Amino acid sequence: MIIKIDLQSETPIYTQVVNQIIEGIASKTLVEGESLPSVRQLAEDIGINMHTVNKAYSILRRDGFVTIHRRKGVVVNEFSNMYNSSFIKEIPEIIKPVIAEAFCKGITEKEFLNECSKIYSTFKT
Amino acid sequence: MAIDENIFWFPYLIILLISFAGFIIPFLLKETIIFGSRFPAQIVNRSEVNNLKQNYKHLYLSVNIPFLIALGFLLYNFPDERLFSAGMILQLVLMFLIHILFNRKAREVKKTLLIYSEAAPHKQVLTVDTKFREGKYLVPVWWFLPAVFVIILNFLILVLSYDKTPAQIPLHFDMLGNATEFTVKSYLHVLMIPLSSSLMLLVFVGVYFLIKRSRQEIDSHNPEISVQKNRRFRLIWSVYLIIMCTVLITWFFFISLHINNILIIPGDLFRVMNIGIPFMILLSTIALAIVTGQSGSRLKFQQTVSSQDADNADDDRYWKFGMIYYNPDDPSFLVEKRYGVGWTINFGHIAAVVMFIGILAAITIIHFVLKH
Repeated sequence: MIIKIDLQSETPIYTQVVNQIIEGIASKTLVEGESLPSVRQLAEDIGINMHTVNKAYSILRRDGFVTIHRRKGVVVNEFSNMYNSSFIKEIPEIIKPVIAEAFCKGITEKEFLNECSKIYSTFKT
Repeated sequence: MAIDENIFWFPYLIILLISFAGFIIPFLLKETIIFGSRFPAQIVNRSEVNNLKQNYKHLYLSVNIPFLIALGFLLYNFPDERLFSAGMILQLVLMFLIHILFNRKAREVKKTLLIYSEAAPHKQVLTVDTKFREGKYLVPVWWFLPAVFVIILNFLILVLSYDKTPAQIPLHFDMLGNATEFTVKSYLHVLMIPLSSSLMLLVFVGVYFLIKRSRQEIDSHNPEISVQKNRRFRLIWSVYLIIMCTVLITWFFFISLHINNILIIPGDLFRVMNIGIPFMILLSTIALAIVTGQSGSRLKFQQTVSSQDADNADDDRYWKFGMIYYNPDDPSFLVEKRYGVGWTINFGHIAAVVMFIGILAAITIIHFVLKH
């Protein structure tokens, strides 16, 4: 999968890596059992400190998206490892700022939900 | 030391080739690298950039042609090894200065073009392919085995026939392979060639692994094609690296048999070999650089995905004179050259600099030990 990192963005690089890998898994660009580059390799490819990549992979491992094997390296998990039904409780906190901004900028609930379902449908197929 | 009159043209030819290689370097770079400066995709085709390239051609030729004619005249009349060395160094200095000059000019042109550019700048994005090193990426490392085999054979033959080798061993050769200095025989001197070959093999294998690891250079404006080009570029050069290593080691193998009187190569053949091999290596390197271009920029691939509104981040500040990479924040050891075809070390990486100096020191020490 191709990862794009915006170096001028306010979003930290490790967050960008985490988000894109999760998106890759959701869209099946990254499939179960697929290897990701090692921490050192990804750090060298991006040209950043290894700690940054380590942080990203730790988050992905904590949330069940990848497993870090000593031999095989970083491997994408099967979906059952990622299931976490209590995540729904965290959603309001995460998307509240986005909804608030959308509301202020005059985007209606219907339009907002429409955008949500469009994104959702790209992952379902 | 005088050069044999029959082949005075040979060192001169090498200088000519180097001058030619220096001339074409800016045209082998990636589309978005102008004289070692990273340009946004929107401005690479502007007339100012083309003018700069024209100026470069004029300046390079008007400096190099008189220089080469004068040097040819001098070498013809005074065929001397020192004159050749001086000419070579002067040629390299000239190339370096012209390239520095145009790198500075390119940076200025970029600055002005960006100030007066009407189009909104693209986002600066860094692109990484997680599958970059999968499949047909580099040739497998066991391709080095023939070279290892030649070195082992070399050691075996020399050790087994140590008693039969002459008591005096040549130590230094002129450009024709004629011995100019001799030394008393010892195991160290008899085995000096396979020992240096072993060191050379280690360096080559090291370079192979560093190339394998070195950062993928993906053009964010055209990522899909860029990945293919960059991968093919590495595959081709890894094949070439190993072939070149094997040829060099085999060449040294024959020299060591010759100077130890085990296999006498006829004088003419010995000369042809000693002139032909370095010459072929230089020539094939230049030819391959023209075919692939830096990062595979000159390889052709079918475009399947449209280009993106994105550029690579401007990293000119890490490239001193557009040539020397100095970035202490980058964990990379070896990176693709900015102003040339191939790879260069990160001078901001302590381990890389230590290793670079270590290799130079090892070569110097070997030379020193053998002489005394």
